[in-house]
Amino acid sequence: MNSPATPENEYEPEIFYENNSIAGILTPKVETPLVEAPVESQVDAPIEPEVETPKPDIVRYEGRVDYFDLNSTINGWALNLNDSDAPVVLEFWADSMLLGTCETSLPRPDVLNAFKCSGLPGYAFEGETLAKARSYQEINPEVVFAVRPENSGFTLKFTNSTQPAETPETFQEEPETGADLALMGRLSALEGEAHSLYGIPVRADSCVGFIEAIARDENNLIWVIGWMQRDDLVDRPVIIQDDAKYAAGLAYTLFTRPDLPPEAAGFVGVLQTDWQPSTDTAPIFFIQIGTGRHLRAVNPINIVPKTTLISYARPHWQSAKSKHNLGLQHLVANSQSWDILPEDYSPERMAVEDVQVIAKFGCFVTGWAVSPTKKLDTLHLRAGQTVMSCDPAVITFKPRPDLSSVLPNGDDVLQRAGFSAFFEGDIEDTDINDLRLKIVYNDRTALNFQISPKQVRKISHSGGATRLQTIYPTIMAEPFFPRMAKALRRLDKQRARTITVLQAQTAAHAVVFATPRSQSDIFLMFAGIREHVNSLPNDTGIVILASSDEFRATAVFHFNELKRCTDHPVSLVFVEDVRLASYAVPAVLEKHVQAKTFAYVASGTHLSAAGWRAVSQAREGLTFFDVGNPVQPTAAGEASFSCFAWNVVGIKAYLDRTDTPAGGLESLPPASKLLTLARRVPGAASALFFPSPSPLLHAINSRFES
Amino acid sequence: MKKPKSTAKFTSQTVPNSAVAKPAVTNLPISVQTAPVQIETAQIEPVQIEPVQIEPVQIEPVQTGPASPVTVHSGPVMTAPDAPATEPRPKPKASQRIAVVSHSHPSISKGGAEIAAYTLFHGLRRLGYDAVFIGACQQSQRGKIELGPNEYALYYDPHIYDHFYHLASGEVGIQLMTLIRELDIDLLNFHHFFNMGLAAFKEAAQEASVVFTIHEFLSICHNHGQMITRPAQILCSASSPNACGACFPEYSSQQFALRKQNFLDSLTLADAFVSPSHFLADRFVAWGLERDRMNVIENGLMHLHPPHLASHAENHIWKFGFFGQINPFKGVDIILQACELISKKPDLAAGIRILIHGNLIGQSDSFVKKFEDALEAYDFLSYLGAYNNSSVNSLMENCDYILMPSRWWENSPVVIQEAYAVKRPLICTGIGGMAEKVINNVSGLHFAFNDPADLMAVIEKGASASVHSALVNGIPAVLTADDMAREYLNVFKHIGASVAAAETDAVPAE
Repeated sequence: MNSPATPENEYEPEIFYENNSIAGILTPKVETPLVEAPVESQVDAPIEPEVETPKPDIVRYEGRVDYFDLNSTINGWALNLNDSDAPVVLEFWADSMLLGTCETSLPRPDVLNAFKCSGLPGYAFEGETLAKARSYQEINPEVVFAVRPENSGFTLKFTNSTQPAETPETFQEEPETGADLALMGRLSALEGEAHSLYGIPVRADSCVGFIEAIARDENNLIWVIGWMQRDDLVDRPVIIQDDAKYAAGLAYTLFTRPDLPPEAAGFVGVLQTDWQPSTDTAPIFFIQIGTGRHLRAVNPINIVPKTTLISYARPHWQSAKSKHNLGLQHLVANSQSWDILPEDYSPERMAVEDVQVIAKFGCFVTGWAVSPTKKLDTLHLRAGQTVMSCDPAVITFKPRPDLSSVLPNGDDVLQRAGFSAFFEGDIEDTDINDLRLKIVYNDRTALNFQISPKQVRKISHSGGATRLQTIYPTIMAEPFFPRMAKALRRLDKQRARTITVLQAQTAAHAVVFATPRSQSDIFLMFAGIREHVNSLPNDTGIVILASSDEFRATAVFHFNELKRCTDHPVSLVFVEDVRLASYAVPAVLEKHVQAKTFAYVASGTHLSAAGWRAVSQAREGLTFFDVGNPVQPTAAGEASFSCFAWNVVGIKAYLDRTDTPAGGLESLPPASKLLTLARRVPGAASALFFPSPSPLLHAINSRFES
Repeated sequence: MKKPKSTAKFTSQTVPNSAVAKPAVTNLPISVQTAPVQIETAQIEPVQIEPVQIEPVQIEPVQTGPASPVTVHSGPVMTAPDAPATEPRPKPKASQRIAVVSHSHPSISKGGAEIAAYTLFHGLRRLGYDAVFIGACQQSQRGKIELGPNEYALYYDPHIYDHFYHLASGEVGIQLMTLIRELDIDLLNFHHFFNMGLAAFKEAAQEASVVFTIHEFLSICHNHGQMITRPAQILCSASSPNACGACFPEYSSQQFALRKQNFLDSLTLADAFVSPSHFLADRFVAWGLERDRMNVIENGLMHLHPPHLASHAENHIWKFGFFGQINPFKGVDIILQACELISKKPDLAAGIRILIHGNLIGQSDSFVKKFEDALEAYDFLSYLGAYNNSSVNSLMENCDYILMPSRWWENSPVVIQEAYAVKRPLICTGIGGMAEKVINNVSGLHFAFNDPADLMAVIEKGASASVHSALVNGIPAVLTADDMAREYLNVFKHIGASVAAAETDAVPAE
């Protein structure tokens, strides 16, 4: 959030231009102060000051009561907007009784910065004035205090946190929903106030309690538990004196602890601050700025996981007394929080059973969630620091009768307990170990689940995507499918870039074979190479692109035999998937073979004698070696990327600029434009099989032109 | 007779196969081998020309012709030619050397093909021809192979063999080529491509004249060459890529088409084919081999003895013997089913005995139990266990009929020749090579395929002295090894005739 409040960084105060100036005229200003408006102010959107012609004979004031504590100080700031350098005499009123006056004379650089003016606008009522006020309050508990400039009808507005104390019994409970948001807003306001009080000297002369444990949560909130003397406040601005001074907002709830005297109470609360707890320091928490009243942390600081702290506090929620009670509870299970709570914290249960990740695209999460009372609203996934939201339109619910032991007598709930959801976004490999799923319920509470890496599967190529059809049987019809298809096509091309060279020898022209995917066809391929290799021109080499799969040993064996039977350059390079070998051709030939031209024979293709004669001659431009069906030897073959020749520059440029098909370059016929430009060699090759692409692969490749 | 041998042994020349005037083998690029140094350094399995340590039993001394350069090497031959064979070898020589090449050796395996090849080898030697025997042997069985004079082995690793396209390690081809060159082989008579692979066959066929003897349907049918469909086990009449793809869905019809194409590309390099049966020959001609190059020569038997003809008394117990491997294709289960029917005919059951000889191979547990139960149930059924091939004559002579209830076509099973050799008629399934070799009601009796009731009826019919006597009289003569060799020599001469003008000598006479 903000850096620690220091005089140097000229913190700007909260200034609300409200219609409470004496003349009912909004104060004009040259520039709008750069103010981080608290949430509460956002609800009542700041009113942009309207520029009106000022009336010179009317003195206009602005000011605030920032801190109000009859036991210590009442302070704030006030400005004569007609003459900021002129001190303002302020009166402190109790109902209609004037208790005392003071003059602005304290530095408030934040105010001066905000109003772009000069002067000493700070003030403080102390001493006898406050003693009078305490006496008056004892006699008149319903007293209304006010601070006004002398001889004016303008009343300085109290900053929210500085309202005079009310009795706990008069707390207004926060609404059922939004209590956490209200609390967050309050914390921001309190922290802002603390910033404004930053300049007040602090002196630790009155320890009124201890912080016994501290936990930091995912949202950089500091949770604290401990005890303190009761003073009827349940939130306050705090200055933390540690290695430096830090402003903080503190909200908490109090509960009775048997180990404490009646005038003290246990508390559990939350600090919003830039301060970072450390076991190496002994911070002091000034909870009544200007008075020396403070809390200390046990030494060394007891830093615990939030779950531990919450587990300790949870039994006290019911007996705790505070207007923030509900807000704190909601904040624990807040939809903004990614903390993992103890399993018994709430009756909601969930699990993630399967996560399928497609890099640079998103992931599919399958699991279940049951709640006896709440209805699932949305799902979010956090991967490292990236948070992705699920499109509610693509959530699929499924019955999970097998969860009846988790939620007995919850048949209706179990009908929709299973879910599958899609989250679009890039999940880095390093983030797979830190995946959390959040279920947000309709009451804005949430439940988080740490996903085990064991449940995560990466879909690294188009073939692996078929398992998504168990989640979305008609995935091709889903709105995200076009983007998914493009990601899968890109993945296939990227995947082919992973190559491992066993041996590479340079050759000007290369005949590149992707090894077939059956042992028999590998034997056939190498038998053909052995038979023809020595008939090739001397500058022609053989490059084998093989897979490190079950047939690796076969490929290596035959490659060694090939080396022994020829003096031609021979290379063996391993690729991740021979079906995608065509995508690896530029990298292999350019970096390792230094070939300028090549002929390529795909994994499912067998080169005929005519093809062998042609492969060494096809060195200019793109040439397609027609691939025929050996079952119908009289039928004409077809041009395809299963068997073709080109130059390395050409294929590289083509692959770089083209959205190529998933499953290998040969998965789609060449574009008609290419066919018109390329040469053809009939009868050059036979197909070892004609693959039947899965409907999914067909769909992945059907929405773009090669 | 011999083709001009390649002068491109270590070069990249293309040498036309001009020795045989047929389009299929002309202008074929010859496989180019690497330099000799590669053979020496390439860690290949050495081609071992074994020293003669064991004289083959019952083999007559070779009456070698005057120019028979039979050389017995005392150790493994590892050397390549001293210099690359860039020039034609000095020719002509007085006699042509013939290599009978088998996928195994009888000392390792006694299958019909290797026995037939070995018989031919000995027949040729007996006739004075300069023949050598080359048998393939698993590397792991080096210590078991027993090579006689003029016998050589090439070694293969069964793990490096593709049973679909029938391709072996390139090293097998190198060994074979080394043997051909070192032994100065002019004509190769392959009795199989199995274990050596088609690539080796192809290389050899470009180096020397080749006659290929077909022993079964493995080229046509991937199902162990049985031409029986999978899994229904129905007799198959003709292969096709789609039909074969249905039997083996793990392979595509395109792969089957390429398999056939690869077989034809290799086998058609042979100058002639020999089939021991017309049935087999016709199947291969229909499949794609040239009829003009096809010859039918029955397998001969190495050893023939005068048969013992028993007289049949009036209360003679008729003995029906089964000989062979008791595997799922041989139809012993049909015999068992027939036994059940026979048992319901007490008179018939009392007058016969059925004797089963052989090893149980590849049978299911349920069959074994069924077999054992039948042996227990039927007094007329006996299992006499495995037998040694040398005792098959006497065992057959103990029977009146030989049963051959095969479920597959068969080709020219040696059991038929062995039965004929001891003048025993056969009762066989009336299909394929069996129907051809056993003439119904002449040299034996047929029963309907897969019909145990008909088998019972035929057994009943055969249990008659008059029928038996008539059938014995109809049994044809059996070829000896010499007879077989003479028939083969005619084929060799025939293919040599076309090159006779270019060669100085034909096959040497004894």
